[in-house]
Amino acid sequence: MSSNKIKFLIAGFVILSSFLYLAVSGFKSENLVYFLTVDEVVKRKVDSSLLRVQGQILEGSLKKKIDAMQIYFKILGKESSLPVTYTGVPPDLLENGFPVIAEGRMNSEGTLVAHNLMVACPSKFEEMKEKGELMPEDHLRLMEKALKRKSKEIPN
Amino acid sequence: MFLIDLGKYSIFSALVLSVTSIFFSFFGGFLKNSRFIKVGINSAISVFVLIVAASCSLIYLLMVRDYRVKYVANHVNNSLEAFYRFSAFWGGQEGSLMLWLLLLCLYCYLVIRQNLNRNLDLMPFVVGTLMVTAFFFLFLLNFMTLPFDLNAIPPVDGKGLNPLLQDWGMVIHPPNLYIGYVGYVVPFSFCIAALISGKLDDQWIQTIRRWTLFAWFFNGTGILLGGAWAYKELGWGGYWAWDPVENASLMPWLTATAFLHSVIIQEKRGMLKVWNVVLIILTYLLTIFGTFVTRSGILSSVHAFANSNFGWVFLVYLLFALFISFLLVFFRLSKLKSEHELESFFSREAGFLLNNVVFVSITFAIFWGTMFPVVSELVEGIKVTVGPPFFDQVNVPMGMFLLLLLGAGPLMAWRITSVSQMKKSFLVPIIVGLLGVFVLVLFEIHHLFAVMAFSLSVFSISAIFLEFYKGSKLIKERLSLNYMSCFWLLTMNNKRRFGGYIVHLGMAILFVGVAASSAYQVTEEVRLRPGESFHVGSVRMRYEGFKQEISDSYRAVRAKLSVFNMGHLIGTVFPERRIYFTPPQPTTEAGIGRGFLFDIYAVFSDVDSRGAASFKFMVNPLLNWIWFGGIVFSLGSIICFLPDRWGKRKGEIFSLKG
Repeated sequence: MSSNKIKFLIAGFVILSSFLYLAVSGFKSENLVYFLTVDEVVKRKVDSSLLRVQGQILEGSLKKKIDAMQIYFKILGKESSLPVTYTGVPPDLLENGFPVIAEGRMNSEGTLVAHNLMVACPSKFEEMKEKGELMPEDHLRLMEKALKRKSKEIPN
Repeated sequence: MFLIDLGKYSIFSALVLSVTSIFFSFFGGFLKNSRFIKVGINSAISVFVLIVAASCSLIYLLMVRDYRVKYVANHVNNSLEAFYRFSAFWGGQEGSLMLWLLLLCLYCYLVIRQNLNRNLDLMPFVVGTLMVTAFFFLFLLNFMTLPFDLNAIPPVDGKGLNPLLQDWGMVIHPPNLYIGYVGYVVPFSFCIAALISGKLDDQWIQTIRRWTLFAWFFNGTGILLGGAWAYKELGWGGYWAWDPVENASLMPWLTATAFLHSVIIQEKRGMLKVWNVVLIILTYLLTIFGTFVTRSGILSSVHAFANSNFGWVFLVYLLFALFISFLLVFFRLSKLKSEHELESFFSREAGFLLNNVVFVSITFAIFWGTMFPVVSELVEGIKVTVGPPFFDQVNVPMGMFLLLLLGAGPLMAWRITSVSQMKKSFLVPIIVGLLGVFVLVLFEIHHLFAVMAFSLSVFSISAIFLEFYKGSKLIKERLSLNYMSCFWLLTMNNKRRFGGYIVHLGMAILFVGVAASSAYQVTEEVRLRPGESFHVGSVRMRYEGFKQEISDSYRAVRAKLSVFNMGHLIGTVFPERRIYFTPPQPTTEAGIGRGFLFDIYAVFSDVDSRGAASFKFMVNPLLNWIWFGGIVFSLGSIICFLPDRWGKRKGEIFSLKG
């Protein structure tokens, strides 16, 4: 093997391994988002990992402090429910009984502090009810981007 | 009923004819039987004609709102304008697959017209491979997802189009992307044909270069249009979210970019032959994968169509294509030997090679990140996804590397660059780049990657300008013309090279926009009463009040905000909140004030009875540079694509060696 070839092989190895290092080091825990159900979250030990929880808002649990731009509600699971807080402009059509996805971290009181809140879009909502499938995932993601939306109807 | 039947039977006969074409093309090619080949080619042309007929009837049914057809009832309604009824052709799953197929058959027809007298030994295999892809889509349309399926009882009104998609950007974005996507099938078919026939000289490479460029251009502009639409319509103030479908459209573009570079080495130096073949195959597989990801529902995404049950068909086809392609490469390895060896790190070849390694690494990192939720669910039973931080962390350093190569590559000589050459060509760009760092530090900008991106862009831009200057000067010495005409002559006589530099220029500008807008975005959320002001960064926003509007398809509330910079009124933005009637859905229209230095992005939410409203304000520095860079990029690609003889003067040749 010529010395030139060895040189290039070493260089190639160095470059590739540095890219590999980049790709592997990207999988740090703070970059991961866990998709969990409400029950899984409630049973889970509280840690600082980023969670994404989906479920329906429990009837009557939704409270809004409009001036402070704060909202509070509970997401309903099969066996338990999870309290969620969110500060900021809430998504459109955030109402009792609606399906939501909340992304955030748990605090020490067992409340999910969401930094991202999404709601399923109403046109599909009826369809989903009919079919008995409340949340097709693709559609929830559609909302994710579309929704930086507001909770109140337009005043007449 | 006639048109529905016409459509249905057309796609079925097309299926049969595609099988005929595959059979006769391949056997004709192997047996060198010109009658067989002719049957194969004529069947392929008939498939094209039939698909045109089927597409026309589907479009007609959409235009006249024939709700007997399920696809029509699901995608248009009585109040939808003609323009959007037409675009509903590709608005749903079945229709979008039809468009895929239509483009594929159109390209097949063009390839036949273009090459019948040129690449005779390749053509049967090219047509055969194109028809295999067509067969796959025809299979889906005939058995898995039927565009002409009927409703038992036709509804009175259809379901209509999602209001988010009622925007011209969203109407042209999918076909634009598809024109590119489907275009990659042509180079792939030539590649497979060359592998089968063993005619692996430069002939096929030259035939597909323009096709790849064409596909790559539309793929790239399609991605940009998608970003521009997301920025305008979705109201979250960004243009790219590392969403699975976005990633799927980016990956083939990256491998195609790598190919467009490494193919130059093959043409000039006869190197990297295996690599080029692999890049084309990868691009094709990633294209099919992208089409699959959008429809399978295995990855949740913003852009996805309804979950469908034919994911496995795609998977089977992907594996089949993967297996056959690499088997062929394996059998032809001996014919793909390199004619030269790499001589120095400081050569154009090494630069191109490095660029390829980076492009492919980025592709793999994105692929890995995109597929991670699926892998983690299979392995650990828990669904874990990696968000934008992962993609940023991995891709930003690699992007910086690309940015460096963008300017440094063209300065390198073929084979080996001597020290004195290096000094001569690198001195000015390096000084300008360092000057850039100095200026940024002076303005107290310390964000590491932003500073790096800016100074590397400045380095690359100055290197490119220097190349243009040197070339123009050479021409000026021979002809006494002004610099503008010399510049024009230079570009027109070396379209590939200088068109390529303009593409580089566009990308450098785009990178500056991306770096500045992501490192220095300011976001604030606030509730204001009419007349109140709020500071966002250096800008003051004053909420003037709101107004209600009613149009045919929606009700809206529109807020008025005055924007002040350093005490001067610089503009007004009107963020809007709409509620559409059919389907009933709220949307947010962001109020965007676009500027050279920064964009103002305002999103408006609920209003109470006293007129107090919640807002989200963003200042996005240099965001417009992204779109401007995109325009420069498009211009450069078009120059590369123009026919060689255009713009040249008779009897004068100014092509430069290098």
